[in-house]
Amino acid sequence: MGIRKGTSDAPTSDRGDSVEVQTRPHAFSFKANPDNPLNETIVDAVNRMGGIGDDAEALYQAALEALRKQSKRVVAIVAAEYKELPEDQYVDRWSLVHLLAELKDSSSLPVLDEILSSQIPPERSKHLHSFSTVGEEIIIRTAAVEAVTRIANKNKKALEVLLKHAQHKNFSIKRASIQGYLEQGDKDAREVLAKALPKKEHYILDIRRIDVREAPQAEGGLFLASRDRDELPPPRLSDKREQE
Amino acid sequence: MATCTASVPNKNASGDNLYGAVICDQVYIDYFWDAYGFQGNSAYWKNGFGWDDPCNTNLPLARTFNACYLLTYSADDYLNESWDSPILNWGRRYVRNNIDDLRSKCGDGTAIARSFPGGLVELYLGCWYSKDVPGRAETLIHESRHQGGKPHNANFPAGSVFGAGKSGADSTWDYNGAWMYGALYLWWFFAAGARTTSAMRQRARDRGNLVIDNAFATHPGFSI
Repeated sequence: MGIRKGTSDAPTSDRGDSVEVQTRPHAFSFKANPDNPLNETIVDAVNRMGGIGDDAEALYQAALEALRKQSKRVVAIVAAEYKELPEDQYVDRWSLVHLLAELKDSSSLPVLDEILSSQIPPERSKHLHSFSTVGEEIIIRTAAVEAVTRIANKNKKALEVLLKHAQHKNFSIKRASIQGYLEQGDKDAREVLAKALPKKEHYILDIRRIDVREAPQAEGGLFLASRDRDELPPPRLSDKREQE
Repeated sequence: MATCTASVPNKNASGDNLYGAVICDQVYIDYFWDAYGFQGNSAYWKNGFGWDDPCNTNLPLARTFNACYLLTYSADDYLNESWDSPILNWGRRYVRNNIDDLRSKCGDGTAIARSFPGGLVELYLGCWYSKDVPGRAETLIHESRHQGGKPHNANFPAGSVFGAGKSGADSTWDYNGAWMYGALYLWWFFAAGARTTSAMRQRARDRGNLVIDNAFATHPGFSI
């Protein structure tokens, strides 16, 4: 398996940089209890989040199901592990918070509130346009808002957490918390939020989650540097070969 | 010529690990190499970037192929790439049509990707090791929009994580700029992405909302 050595690619002088990649088995340390058999199940579920193919969701849900049976114990492990992860492991930190969202166990409320209340570390990136570490921190926290929102369906305490963070100083966290509260709160939810928020922020109450089909779309076929025609292989070659 | 290092977990949620078994087929490798601007740039994908090991999803080339796969096959009706269909369908075509040369470099740690006149896009270390697969696809869409001749036209709003008050924002959603294309792609992926998981779609939603909240001088007034 390799890249075809096309005429346009050879011979060439060596113009590129070089990179050395080291691999680790997985992202977590499980320092508190390295021998807990649940650790492996958590790693599997997190890994399955990035699944691909027609069976990806089914495999992911099967991995979650194994955790849901012991959700309180899993929440405790995940909460401890989250605190151990280095700040710059943004995807891994997000994956643990999303796991809490999937479990919908109210025992995760304290750690979710803690994540949302924690100070956002200063920006580490020097080129914010393409990558903002504060942006990654906010993605983790809006995932935490989603986790609280899923619990708030039948949980007053979760609603209180949402109301608290509806007053967060970061716009995205505030916006997500407001939307979560409006979604799960009772008929007075809007009134409660209006009282809690300064008047200049009342416009956020009108920022609605909408379906992508309702949003203004990009018009295809415009602003093209060139046009091409390529023959596209099917998404699973093995499926096609089995049929042949 | 720079030298850089990266450390990656074999198992995490980025989406890279499980793509490996799928993209590791000569037909895909040939297709992606030819279609997405790699051709003629092999020198930039050697020296550890993956030219000699294109199935190894720990390396930049396979991680870029993963993004190419996502772009190519995330619409349920992936054979339809008509410009009249959603961006989920034609996003890949837009990238193909606008990126002539796709190159990998270490970068100086400040950017994930940069676009240069004439169809050249460079990807840097953070693109493969800080971003997940949908995020990488968004980067390719965003840079393609610049190649298509649409620069940013506004300053970021107060409180923006992308640099409040600094240039680089799009004025509005209707400006149809690079931020809108990227966010819209993520939004469609969240709403209708195929051959993926609900977790990856949720991750796309979180990133899309970050863009909507922070990259437009005037907030569009909706969210994902």
